[in-house]
Amino acid sequence: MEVDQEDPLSQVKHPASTSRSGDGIPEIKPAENLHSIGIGILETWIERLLKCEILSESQVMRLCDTAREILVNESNVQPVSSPVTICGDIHGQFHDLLELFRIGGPCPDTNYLFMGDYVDRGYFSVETISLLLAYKVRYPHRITILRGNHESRQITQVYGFYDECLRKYGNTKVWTAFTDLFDYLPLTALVENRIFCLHGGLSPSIETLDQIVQLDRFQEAPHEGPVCDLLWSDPDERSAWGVSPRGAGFTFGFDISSQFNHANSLSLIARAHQLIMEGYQFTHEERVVTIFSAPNYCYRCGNQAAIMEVDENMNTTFLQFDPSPRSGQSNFSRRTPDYFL
Amino acid sequence: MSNFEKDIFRKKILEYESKSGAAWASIHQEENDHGTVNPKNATDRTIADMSTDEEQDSLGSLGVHLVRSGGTSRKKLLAPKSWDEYFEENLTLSKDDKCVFNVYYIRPKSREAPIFIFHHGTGSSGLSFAVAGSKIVAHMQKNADSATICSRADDRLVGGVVSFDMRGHGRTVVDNPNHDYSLETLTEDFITMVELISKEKQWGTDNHGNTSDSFNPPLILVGHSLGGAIVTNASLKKRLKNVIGVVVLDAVEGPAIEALSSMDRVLSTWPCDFESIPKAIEWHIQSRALRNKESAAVSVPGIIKEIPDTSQYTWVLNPRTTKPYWENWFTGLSGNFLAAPAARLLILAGTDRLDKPLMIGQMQGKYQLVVFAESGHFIQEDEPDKTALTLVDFWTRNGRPTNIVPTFGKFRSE
Repeated sequence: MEVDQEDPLSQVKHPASTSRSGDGIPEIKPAENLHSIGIGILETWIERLLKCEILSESQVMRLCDTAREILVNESNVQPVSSPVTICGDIHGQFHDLLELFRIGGPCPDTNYLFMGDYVDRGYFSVETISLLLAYKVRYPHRITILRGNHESRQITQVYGFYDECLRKYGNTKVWTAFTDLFDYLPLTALVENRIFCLHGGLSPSIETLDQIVQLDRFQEAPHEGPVCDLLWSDPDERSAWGVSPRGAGFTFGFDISSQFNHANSLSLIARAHQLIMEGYQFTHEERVVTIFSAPNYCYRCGNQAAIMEVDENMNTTFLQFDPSPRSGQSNFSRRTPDYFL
Repeated sequence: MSNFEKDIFRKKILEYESKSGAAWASIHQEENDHGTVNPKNATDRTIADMSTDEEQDSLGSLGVHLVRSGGTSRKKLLAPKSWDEYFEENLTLSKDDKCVFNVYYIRPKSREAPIFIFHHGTGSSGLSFAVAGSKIVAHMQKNADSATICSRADDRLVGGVVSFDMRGHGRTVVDNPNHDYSLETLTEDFITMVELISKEKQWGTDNHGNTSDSFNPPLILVGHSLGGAIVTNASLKKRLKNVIGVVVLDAVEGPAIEALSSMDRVLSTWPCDFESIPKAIEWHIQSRALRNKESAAVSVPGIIKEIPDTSQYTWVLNPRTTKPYWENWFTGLSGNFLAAPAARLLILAGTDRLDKPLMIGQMQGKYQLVVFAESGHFIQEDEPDKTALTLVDFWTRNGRPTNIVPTFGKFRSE
């Protein structure tokens, strides 16, 4: 396959990039139902959550109901304006999320775009997703939250969120409410028609952003197909498409990113999904950047985290950070070992 | 295993049953019937008593407590099952007169079809994979039946199975006066066994008697526990041809080494002898060492032997014999697994207990991780259906990748 050598930035005036918002991607709609909870109540909830205290079961239900009304109107390719700060995986590391807001600026002073994987593995998935949803409902135009491969009923039953909900609420109603809501999270976002943001990566079934707009996302994350690929794929050093070692999604090479960015007049694909020791990493000659925002992942990996600030002029700056001093690793109980030889 | 995953597997199994006429669901239900316990099925003597050089552990009575917990019953004991219900052949393959391997085999239906080569863990035997191995073949046969060519099943898709007894286990006889169970020696045994069966079954020879490496069938090496460390190590040697997958069942370096100190205590809860084979099977089910009755009925006869001049049975191998090597087996496993030159699959029982290298590796997408939440350590025995389905899917994905081209024509023409 031929490699596109053209500087992607020279494509700024490409006609496709200016006409896009007119064909298929809906304009941002105001959240009329914001007052179904009430700003005052929402702010007390946010205050509580910032202290790492969970909401009650009925509050979570109301929060999810209201968030759903907002998310259902968002596009599969949700348009986002600059300036915005783009973040990767959080995975229930609530204290590190607070650290992220200290470093990037509080919501809503800073606009945020989160690229999924809020839950599982860390011990504060409930607090993390509750806070992000509360912000989303309170400031729907200031924060965008995409779906990650962990925002799924199946995955959360294996990697901790299901157990955490059961432990903190004594039943699984809250888990059901959250995972039902996950079906409404947008799959991708597009910053000023130039930076394409998503959790995983590209799909061999998708060539254009318009094709993503046409996908039916309101369902449990599937095991295969384009929606699965967007949540699971990884960039690779090898060219073309490859079988992903993860068992879901694909790997895609420099040639694929290059053609996709060219065909869609993009300057950059920003994605998360992979742990990066320095918190962020460019690949495919700066056509793809991976951002990972969970420092010392799962309390043992020793990695830094990063977020990417995009200013009004679409200049990018990376902020790296280390784990919060109170990262919140609880006395994590180990199973009594069985025979295993 | 989550309820969601259970639903998926159950659907797949039901789909299989409707096509094959097999009745796995009934076996499944039987698994859930815990039954009751016969307190006399294990004697008060535990395996700890067998080892004179080991310190007695104060918790040695735990096993007896477990056995007593269920009260008494007149329940009929499970009859042992024979290997030939699950494998086509039982071969004896000799390297020389000091090294004779006992091997179970199901022939692949073509040279393109994969062969799953299994390695069991300590104290187990090749029969540990009897049920799962036969289910792999049954599942591939089902796939072949649905991929008909001119209304005939495409049997070329149906793979084979090799499972053997490692030295000191089952009916394999290896002269081993110094009790050498080092990882290197065991890896050498494994490679030797594969080379022997490859020669015996002429894997590298075509119908006209020509030999070539290109005739070698694709191999998927699957190891349980210690076996996982061995197949991983074997893949790094690159002496076996056409290895396309390495699968480790419930072995992770960090947690394994941390738990080594508890192994004496665990082993001290095991009885030392059994009145009969059915009682040994019953002990494995009641103690939850094995959780699937069908698998226990075929695998347990492979790990116990009659004590000469008595009517009692005891273990073929006391796992404590291998203790000097325990740390050696698992040290470096995580790094080795991530470096294995093939597709990698890790199946864990219970939860995702990963150490740092495997956690980073998983989060960088270097291997496939599957967790069977409700399985015990013997994944292939406790969850043979799910293990078989997962392994066949792993093969389909990595061994026969479809030619990936974009759905839409634009990229290709550029």
